[in-house]
Amino acid sequence: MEFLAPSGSGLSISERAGLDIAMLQVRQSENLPLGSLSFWGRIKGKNDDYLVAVALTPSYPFPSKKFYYTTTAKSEKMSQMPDLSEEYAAHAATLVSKPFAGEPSMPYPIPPKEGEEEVVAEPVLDENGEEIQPEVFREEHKLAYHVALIDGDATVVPRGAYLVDAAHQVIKNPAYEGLAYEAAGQLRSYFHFRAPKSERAQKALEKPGVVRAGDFLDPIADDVPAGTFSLYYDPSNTMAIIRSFYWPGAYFYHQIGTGNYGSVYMGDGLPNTDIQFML
Amino acid sequence: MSFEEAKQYLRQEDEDGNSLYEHLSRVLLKVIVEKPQNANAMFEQLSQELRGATQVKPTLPTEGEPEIAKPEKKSQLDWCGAVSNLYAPTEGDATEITYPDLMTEANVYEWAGINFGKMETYRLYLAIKQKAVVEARSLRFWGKITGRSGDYFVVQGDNPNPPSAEEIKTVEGAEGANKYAFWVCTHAGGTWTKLPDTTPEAIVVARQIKRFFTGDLDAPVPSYPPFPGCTEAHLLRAQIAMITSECSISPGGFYAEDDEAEEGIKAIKKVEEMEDFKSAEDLKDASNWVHHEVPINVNGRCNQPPVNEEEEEGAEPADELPDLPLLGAIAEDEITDGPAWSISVCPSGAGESPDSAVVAKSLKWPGAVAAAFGNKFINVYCGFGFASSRGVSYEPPRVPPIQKEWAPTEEDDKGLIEDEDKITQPVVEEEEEEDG
Repeated sequence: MEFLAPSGSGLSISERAGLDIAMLQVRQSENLPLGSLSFWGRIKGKNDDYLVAVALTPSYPFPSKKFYYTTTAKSEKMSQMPDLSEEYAAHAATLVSKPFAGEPSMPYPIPPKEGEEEVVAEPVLDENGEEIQPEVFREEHKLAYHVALIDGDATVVPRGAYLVDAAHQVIKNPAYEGLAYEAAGQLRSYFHFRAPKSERAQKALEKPGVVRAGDFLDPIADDVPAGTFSLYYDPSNTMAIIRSFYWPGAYFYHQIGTGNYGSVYMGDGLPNTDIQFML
Repeated sequence: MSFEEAKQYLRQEDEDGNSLYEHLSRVLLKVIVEKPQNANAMFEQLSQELRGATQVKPTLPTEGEPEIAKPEKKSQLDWCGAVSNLYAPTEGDATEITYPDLMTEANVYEWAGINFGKMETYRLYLAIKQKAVVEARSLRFWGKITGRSGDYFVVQGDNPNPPSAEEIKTVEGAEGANKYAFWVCTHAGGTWTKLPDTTPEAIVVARQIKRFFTGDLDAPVPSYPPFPGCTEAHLLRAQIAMITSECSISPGGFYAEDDEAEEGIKAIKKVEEMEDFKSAEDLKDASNWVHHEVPINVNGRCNQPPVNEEEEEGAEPADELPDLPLLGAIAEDEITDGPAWSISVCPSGAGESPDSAVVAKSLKWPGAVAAAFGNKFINVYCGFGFASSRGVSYEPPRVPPIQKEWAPTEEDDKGLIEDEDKITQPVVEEEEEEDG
């Protein structure tokens, strides 16, 4: 937890004690190997907060990420985040600046399209004759949408922490030794931990032969506007710290010269669309 | 090619005296010694790593040559020096000063999701204690404001020299937003800087702008409308004034209106002998929490501006703003989408007990937190230092329309008659005649 100290945020003891149980349960029931499930962050809601964990599973060419969530009040039990259909993702995009309430089951009705009348679904009965509620867009869908956005924009890894192996699959570098002091102070040494979007990185991943660390991921320094990320050494000059100002609350640390690094998000889950006025 | 020949070929040394044979044996040795899980897939990486390690020949330091200093050496040693100063006992005469028991408070911050790290918290405690002894005044920990290249830790104390009565037209003194002084440092052990006093004008402008702090107190604040003071220290002070005034809340009963204050001056004092403590159950209700700092009005003032006795004749007196209520309940605070505070009991659910802390979080100022536990309460702030937009995009204020040209009124129209054109004939210089 000392690594998170400069972020000013942390989990309460009840959240940590609950997650300890919930994450072990998820790891065992989903047959995830040790170390593949990690804490991702916390999204503040009005009445309760969401706690999110991410599981990384090897996949070609980029490891796949699966998210699990719970709330502070029920932190001992996690569930998998729902997948988003195109319709749901489009609806979530319209709600992106709306703050979270903290209730996963809270409905956010999709307004009927123009010219279409609202369809009142016939009640469907289950085998006991009880009404099955029709599937609606709920806050957990909104959560899934935001977590995917934040993860794509603000999860950071240092150069060399991930490699392309002989089979051209992106894998975690088990022998990672960290960045030297000077390299750790340069934004160019850090990358988005996502399947690459830039053409340059995509090509590097496809190219046969050894792929140099840093060629196959998108550098965070290319994000616009310049200043979206800030990088600085902590006061003791033993850690490099990165914050995103488009997603305030996104925090990355790297203990210089060691294999210790991590990204965590502790915020309200909302993008800062006012960033152009604020830098 | 026979086996020996092949071996001979692999053993060929390059300019630096390395051979492929040697390299391969090192790689194989590494694989066998370290037994990585998937040696086959890792082969290229292992090979590359060893190349990095062996291509640079280790050199033993030789006498007489200066040692090459690592770049981080100086900055890390500087930090060690600055922070170890905190461990020196400070001499001071003042006996009645108080400073926060930060380690205990930090346990309560944790319930609110705020954590500065245990070690940093202790060092911060040392730093605040030292500052309190040096300043010979009681200090409280106000919180932390995150900047783009560093953070500010803020402590609060009574203002040692508030603006005097002569300045009162433009600045408010101890009866207003300058009741307290604030000192900031970028990390425990760093030098404390006292922030400049704030002005009503600065508060009014600060409300219209939205900026991230840079972490440098001298940084300029480019903004529209132009920010008075122009440096980040002034903006930081103005934001702190607003947060202090709006987010200092406590369970009802700790504070009361100060009757001894001068007429027309609003003041709040702490109740000496507090008896009626609110229970955790009561505090779940926002109407049992009250603001205990004097609110700042739209003009950036806590009190009505003083009346100027020598005012010009005929000048219309400015409209007086209605007095904002003192010790108002937080239940009445509202933001665009509902109440401005969210209250939770920690621990809640199965862990809830009469001793649970009750935490109130501001939705208007994310990061502003109050917590009541036992018979105490704390206020702390840990955030970016600006108010939440709650999903509404920020729009910088518009530039005022261009002022109209002066136009004569009807009365003036009759009285004003245009002069006849005054024509001044230019003096024609005599031209010298030129002979063709």
